[in-house]
Formats: sequence, structure tokens, C-alpha cells
Amino acid sequence: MKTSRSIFQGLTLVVLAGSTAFAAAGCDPRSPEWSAYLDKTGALPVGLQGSVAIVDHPTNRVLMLPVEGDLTLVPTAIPIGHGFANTRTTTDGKRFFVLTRGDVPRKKSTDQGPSLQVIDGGSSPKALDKYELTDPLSGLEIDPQAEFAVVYPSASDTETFVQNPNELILVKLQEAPSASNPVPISLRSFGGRPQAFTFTPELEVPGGKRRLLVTSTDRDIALVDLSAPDKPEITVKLTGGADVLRPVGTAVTDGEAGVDTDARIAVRMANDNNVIVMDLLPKPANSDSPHSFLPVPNINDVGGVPTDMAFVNTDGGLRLAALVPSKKSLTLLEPVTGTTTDVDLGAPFDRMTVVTDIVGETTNGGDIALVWSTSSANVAFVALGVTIGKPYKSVERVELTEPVSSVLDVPAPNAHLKILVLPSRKNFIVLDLLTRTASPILAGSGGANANVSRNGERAWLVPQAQFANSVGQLNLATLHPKNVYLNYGVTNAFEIERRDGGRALVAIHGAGTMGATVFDAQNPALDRSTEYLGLLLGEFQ
Amino acid sequence: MRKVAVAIAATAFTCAAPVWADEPAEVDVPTKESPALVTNVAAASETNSEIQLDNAALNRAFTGGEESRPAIPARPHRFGVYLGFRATNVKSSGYDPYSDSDALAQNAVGFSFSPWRTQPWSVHFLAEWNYGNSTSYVRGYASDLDVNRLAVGAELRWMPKSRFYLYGKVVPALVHTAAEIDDWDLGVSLESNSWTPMVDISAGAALRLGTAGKEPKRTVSFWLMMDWGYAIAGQATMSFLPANIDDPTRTFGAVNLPGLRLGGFVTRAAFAITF
Repeated sequence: MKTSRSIFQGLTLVVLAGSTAFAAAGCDPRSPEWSAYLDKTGALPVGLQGSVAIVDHPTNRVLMLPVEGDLTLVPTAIPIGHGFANTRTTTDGKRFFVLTRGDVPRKKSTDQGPSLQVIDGGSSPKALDKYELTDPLSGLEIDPQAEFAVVYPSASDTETFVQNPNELILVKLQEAPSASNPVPISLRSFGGRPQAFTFTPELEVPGGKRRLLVTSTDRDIALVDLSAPDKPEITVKLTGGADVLRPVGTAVTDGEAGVDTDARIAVRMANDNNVIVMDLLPKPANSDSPHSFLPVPNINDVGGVPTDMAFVNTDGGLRLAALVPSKKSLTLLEPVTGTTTDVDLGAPFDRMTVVTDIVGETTNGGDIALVWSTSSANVAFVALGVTIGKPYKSVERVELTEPVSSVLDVPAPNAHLKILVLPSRKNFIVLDLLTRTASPILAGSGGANANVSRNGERAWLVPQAQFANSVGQLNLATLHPKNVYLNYGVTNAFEIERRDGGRALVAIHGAGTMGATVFDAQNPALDRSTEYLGLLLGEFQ
Repeated sequence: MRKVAVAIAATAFTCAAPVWADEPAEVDVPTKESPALVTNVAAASETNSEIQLDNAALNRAFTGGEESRPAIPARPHRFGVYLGFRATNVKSSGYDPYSDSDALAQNAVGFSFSPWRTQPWSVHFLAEWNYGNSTSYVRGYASDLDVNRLAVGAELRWMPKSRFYLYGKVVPALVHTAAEIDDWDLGVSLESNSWTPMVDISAGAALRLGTAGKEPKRTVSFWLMMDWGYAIAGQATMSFLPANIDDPTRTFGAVNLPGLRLGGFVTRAAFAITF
């Protein structure tokens, strides 16, 4: 009897111990990503050179979608820091930048700090350098030459208890992260805060060639020497007295090659007739400035509020061309003397771009500018080589049905084309700069968003209407449109380079857990596509 | 946590079982080396041919305290069936999309057979089927996991007393996992199906609750079994494709969730009948 009791008691103990151990072991926490709800706000998919990037910020990762030659996706998850803030790409799509703010506020030493993650945007995406930052900021701009990035406080950065809105962080993207990279820069302020940044091309200035970062605040301009960012910036105070002059645009010229005293930076202001042209000249002998050059500003009245401007070459030499819609003219400002010449455009054009590289210069060596208007249904070509004496014959206007809201550039081999986006987004114009023809392309009743492939061969039109399940391919050589119908609503479509060197179109289905349909970009057809659903559930390690 | 509760409830049942059972007389296990005992048992069964649950206290009362022989099997039963549960503590991160905890509870239905009726050591072969289900939400979308396990294995028993035995077993199995995620927003259900191998290595004890019948006629014994061990499992590839789309012109690519390895510490409890 005693033996049976002891056996029973032993068994009971074993059962209780085993069950308790099992119950305790079963209480491990679940990985947090599975409880992270999808949040697609502020993180739209981005088309890169060889991948599509989807920022899945609730799980602190970027899902990269390269494509194999057989049109299958090879999703790759790349971790990013906590507190997603912003993204940018380089112009060529080879790099993708993700700015994160870290854990705000940082209460523990283990909390993450802010960082800038660089990701390879090719067909074998991978994480590259990660730059640790000192402050949780949300503003990000990338140098068009991909040499620098600047992180700055945006208007939404309000969580930090104490903040200097004029503190920038300059990241040298060509250098690995180190104690001296990134570089914090504190701008001298006269009450403003940074609004816009212009990375200049290399300028020949006294003291040697260098690039500058032109920082526009809401009341002044600061020049940062990118070759020596630790030097104090040069601040040009625009506002004096009660009038606040807000800079809204800049133009830069290096002047003639081999001359280091003719580099200039022009600044236009909001609601002001004046344009300030800063000559970058040698610093005075008695100056204690650490810089070898200093800007000498000249104020020039162009007769109305300019809405766009650019330095151009004319048969009379270098001019600053400023569009003044109130005068329906293009005002040519001679930067040394300040004299102006008006070219009557006949319509209030307010945007311009110099297209000489595409269409070739005039017989007199002058530039050709394309001007368009957001208020008048016209575009015009302005041949600046014959402005002296015959200004009216230099303008060739093309009538449109609507004003132009934006212009899309087309890379080579179709760089002679511009796609004009009209406000309704139901009409697009393919403007041929060589033949000066304007071919209308009509989109469906809901309108469309357009983007151009990086190889310049095609444009893709994606319906604006939610849940519309079609994509339009526009062959830019023939202007032949082809509509492709899909099984799910399309929110974005990007043409990227496949791993075998071919081209693929990745159409993103933004609903639910997100999906994608992958086509051959040259000959898209649904029965030769591959569909993926549930993308944001995959690739967790 | 629901599955853990099931396991604990089963444990409570295990703990209560001896109270329900009557205390048996302590007897020696019949062996081939004690033929007289076999003879006595056979004689007892001739005078009491009714099929009744063994009750040692009652037997003592009727026999006036003389030596009683409960109707235990003279040799181990050749056949057994059991019904219970099998609970696994799944540590694989691949289980997280389908469960809020690490526990996976399954039923356990099994059959055992021994070609050799030896004592106190005996070898039994067994077959078992387990089914379990787990549901959760993955990033806000309902997820569901069905796990079927088909197993055959061998069990070694050591029965020092008629009232209980200890056992250890090795049970290879094939596991079928069927997972589903319902993306109501896209209007599709995503499914994943896979087979993976598994081996359970466990040891435990069985307690006899009672026996019906008297030898040499057929007897039936009732047992409570519980064992613990470890399941070594292969990793199931969790590749999800849309379900119920029968358009042959469409090609789907799979979305991969983390591989699922259903191994881990295993607890099994069952009520068994041997005959």
C-alpha cells in the first residue's frame, strides 16, 4: 500500500512539475512585427534603378523588390532604424536613403538614435553605409551629384524639448561614417530657419574650385563651402528694416571657364521685383574671413515679380533670364551692369527650363529656353541667340488646351521629348523639342499619374482612381499607347532593370497586405505576368 | 494561452484520477516464473464470471482478508487504444504569425500493438494521429494554422507492478501544416501547405485505473498515461499563394513567411484501454 501511495505521489509531482514547466515556457512573447498593423501613410513605394522599395515603417524595414529574368520577384528586407522620417533617392536611382529619428525621447541607453541608412537600389539590393546622427530631424535633401546629403529640421520636428532650427547635419556620402562624418553645421540666424537647399556644381571661385551649399531660410541666404564644411558659413542677410524678403529660388553660374571671378548666384524673392545677384569675388585684403571668397550682392529690378529664372548664354553674352508673368515677358538681365532687356512672350509664362543641351544652340551660340505657364494654355520656345535687336522673332508659341502643371523630363534616347502634365491629369502632351510638335495623350475619366522609365523608352500612366486595375504603356519612340489590365487595383507602377539586363514593370497593388504584378516592360501582357499578394507579410527573419 | 489552459486542465484531470480509482491490493506481477499465480487467477475467474470493474477493497471484504487476486492481465495486453492530447512548446519564430503563445495543443488518438507479450519488459508498436489548430492575427489579418501529425513508432515498457508501468518511445512522424491568411482588403485568402518529418522521443508513466473481466476470459484495462519528451522537427517552408483561383493563365509567386519548425518540448496525456 505504501509503495502504491509513494508511486502515486511521485507521479503527481512529476505531472505538476512538467505541466508547470510547459505552461511557463509557453508564455514567451510573440515577435512584435506580427502585431504591427500596416501603415502606408508617408511611405509610398519608390522605383529605383533595379528594385522597387517599399518602406514598411511599422516593422522598421524596407522591402526591396528586384526582379529576375523570368519575372519573379526576389523580395529582400533591409532593416532601418526606429522612427521613420523621410526618404530620398539619387537622380540615377542607384541609391536609396532612409532617414530615421530613432526612439524619441531617448530614455534608455539602449534606445536607438537617429540615423541615415543608405541602400543600394540596384538589382541586388543591400544595406550600405549607416550614418548615426546627433539629432532627430525629419528634413532630408540629397545632392544631385550624390556626394552630399543634408539633414535639417522640418516644420514637423516639434517633439524635441530644446531644438536649434538652424542646425544642419551634412553627410559626406562618398566617405564612410566616422567621427568627422556627418558634420553638424549651425547657421548664424537672423530669425529664420532653413527652407530650401541648392547644391551648386563645381564653381571656379577665388581660392580654387569648390562646391557650395546654398541654404535659403525664410529671410536670408547662407553659403556653406562643401570642401570645408567646418568653416563658418557665409550668411547674406536679405531683410532689412520692417520688410521681410523671403528667398524662393536660386540660379547659379560658373561663368567662363578658367576665370575665377565670374561665378554668380542669383536669388529671387517672393512678391518682390528685385533679383539679387551675388558675385563671388576675392575677399578684401583687410577681411578676417576664413574664406578665400566673399559674395558681393547686387540688387536688380526686373520690373515685376519673377517666377523663375536661369543663367543663359545669348549672342550678347551671359544673361540672367527671369520670367515676369505680370509683364508677359522674359527679362534678360546683364549681371555686371544690371541693364535689362525684355522679350515679349505674349502670355504670362511662369516656368522655364534651358533645353540647349537637347536641341542644340542657336547659330549665334545662344541658349534656347522652353517656357510654360500654370495659368495660360501655352508653351513657347525662346531662342536667346537672336534677342539683341530682334526679340519678337525669337519666340515660337505652341497652343495647348490647358495650362501646364508640371513637366517631366525624358532621358536619352528620347531626351528631345518633354511630357507636359495638365492640371486635370486627363490630358498629357508629349512635346517634341526638335520638331516643335505637341502630341496629346488622353487618360481615362479619372485621370492618371505619369512616370518615365529611366531608360527613356517608355512612359507609364497609372490611374488616379483608387482600385482602377489598368496601366497604360506609352512608347515614346512611336507614341503608341498600350493598355494592360490587371486583376487588382493599381496604385503605382515602376519600370526597373531586371537581373538579366532586361526591363520589368512592377505594378503595385496598394490595398491590404499589398501585392505586385510583374510584367515584361517591353511587351506587357497579363498572361505572361507574375502576381504576388501579401508582400508586407513576407521576408521577416 | 488557451492551449496552455487545456494542458493544465488535463494535468488536473491526471491529478484527480487516483481519487476516482480504488486503491488496489498490492500484488506481484504475474510472470512466467510464477505459474502458480496464474493458476490462482484462473481459478478465481471460474467462480466469478461476471464482467465487473476490479475493486480490491470489495474483494478483500468478500474473501475475509484472505489473499485476493485482482483480475489483472496475466501478461500484457496485446492491443491498446488511447485518446488524449499532445501539447508542444513551439519555440520556432515561424509559429508566431499563427499564435499568440508558443503552445500548440493537439488531440492524440493512437493504437498500440505488441506481438510479444513478455514481462516485465515488453515492446509495443504504435500508430498515432494528432490534429491541432491555432488562430491569431498577423498584422491585422486573421491567420489560421491546421497541423496534422501521422506517426508510427515503437515503445519499450517496464512494468514492475501491475498497477503502473514506465515507458519510453521513439515515434517518427510526418506533419502536415496548412496555414491560411485572410486578406479581406485585397479579397484573397493566402494558403500554404507543406509536409515535414518529425521524431518524438519521450518517456513517461502509465497508471492503471482498473480492469474489467477475469482471465482466462478477455479482460480490459483502463490506464492513464502521461509522458514528456522532445520533438525534433524539420522546418516547414511557409510559402503563401492565393487560394481558390482556378485560372490556368495566371502565374502566382509565393510570399515567404518564416519557416515553421514544430519541434520542442512535448507533453502527452491520454486515457488508454488495453485488451
